[in-house]
Amino acid sequence: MCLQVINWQIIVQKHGPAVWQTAYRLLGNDTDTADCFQDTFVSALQVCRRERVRNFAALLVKLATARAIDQLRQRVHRSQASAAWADCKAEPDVSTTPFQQLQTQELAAKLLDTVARLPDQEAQVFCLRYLNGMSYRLIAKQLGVSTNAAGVALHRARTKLRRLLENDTGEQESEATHETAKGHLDQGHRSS
Amino acid sequence: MKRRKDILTKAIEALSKSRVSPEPPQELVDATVAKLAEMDKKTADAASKRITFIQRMRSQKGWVRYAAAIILIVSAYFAGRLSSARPPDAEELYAALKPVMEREMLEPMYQQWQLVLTSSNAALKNQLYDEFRSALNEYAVQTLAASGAATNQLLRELIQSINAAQMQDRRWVASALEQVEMNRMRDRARFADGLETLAVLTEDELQRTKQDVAQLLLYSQPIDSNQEMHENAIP
Repeated sequence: MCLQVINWQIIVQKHGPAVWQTAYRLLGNDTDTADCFQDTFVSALQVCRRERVRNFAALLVKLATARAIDQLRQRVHRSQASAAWADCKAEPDVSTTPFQQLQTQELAAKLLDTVARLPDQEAQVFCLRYLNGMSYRLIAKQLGVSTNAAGVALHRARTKLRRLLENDTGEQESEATHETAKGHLDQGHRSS
Repeated sequence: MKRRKDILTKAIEALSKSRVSPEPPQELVDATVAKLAEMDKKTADAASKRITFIQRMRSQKGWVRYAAAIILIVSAYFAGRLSSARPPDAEELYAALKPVMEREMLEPMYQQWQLVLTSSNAALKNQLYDEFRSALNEYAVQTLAASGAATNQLLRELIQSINAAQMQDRRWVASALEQVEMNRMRDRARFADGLETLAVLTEDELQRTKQDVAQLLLYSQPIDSNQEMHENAIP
């Protein structure tokens, strides 16, 4: 039974855009975002039955982030990440060239890929902080942890993301060098 | 370290800048609201079975209030209708108001439209320019992405073909080395056989020579002794 009387039409109209943007930024296509949107509000209804909600905006953004991260993980497991993120488009900017825009898109897709590889709490803290601009205190309150724990999780997430991003970029950069060196080595062996 | 920071910061900025449609589609909002209402209703139905007698009485009080209000409104409507004068004729009113409305409204509206169209000409041009440029940019981005994907595919195929060629080269070299080794072994065996034959033949020849020398020594011994006797007798 619901602990408070809630007009869901007003809630959906008021907070729907924030939920939609949060999910779309992580998922990058309409279909997955629509699923995530509905799941988020259904989860919010279930939360309302259990406890009294004071901050609907924060709760919905947190739920949307959690659902979106779950879908990202499933996508990575299915190895369809690149196809699904192809819809993700950068904001049109007249000051940048199309090539730079493409690079930006690829970087964003890479970041999402690495976020999906983080542990659940770290990924949520990272998204809530950097994509939704929530404060440490609010994040901690929503996730039911202390502010220090949220800070530690964010620090760990940043460290891991840096490492993973650098590895990915390093691998791509070194691939060509490695191939060239391998070719030279083979030639050397054959000539000797 | 600076490079790492730059990568993460750039990636966060890129993700934050990613284009997101500001609002969900209206159909989705309606569907979500309907779904939530249905779930809420199910919960309410389940809860209503547990309503007590007192709650029923309370709710009946509410209904009595609503019924009284409705009766009051309906009676006020009929009272107002009875007390009012004959309603004015709509056609007369329209004929009287039409020229005044035309004079008062159409002329200023026409002038206002002229003004708006003139002033918005430049803005419209700018907007069209921006839209055209943004569409071109989007097309360029898509083309670049497609060409990048095609290039990657071609590079993958090239790498595969190079690897296959290298593998083939290695196989050839290995088979050539094997052939050389076999030739060497065969030559060695032949050489060993030849040497053995030579040794046997040489040994035979040596034996024969030794016998010949011995025979020669036997033949030459008596001549030497007669000569020695003759040399001793002369002095």
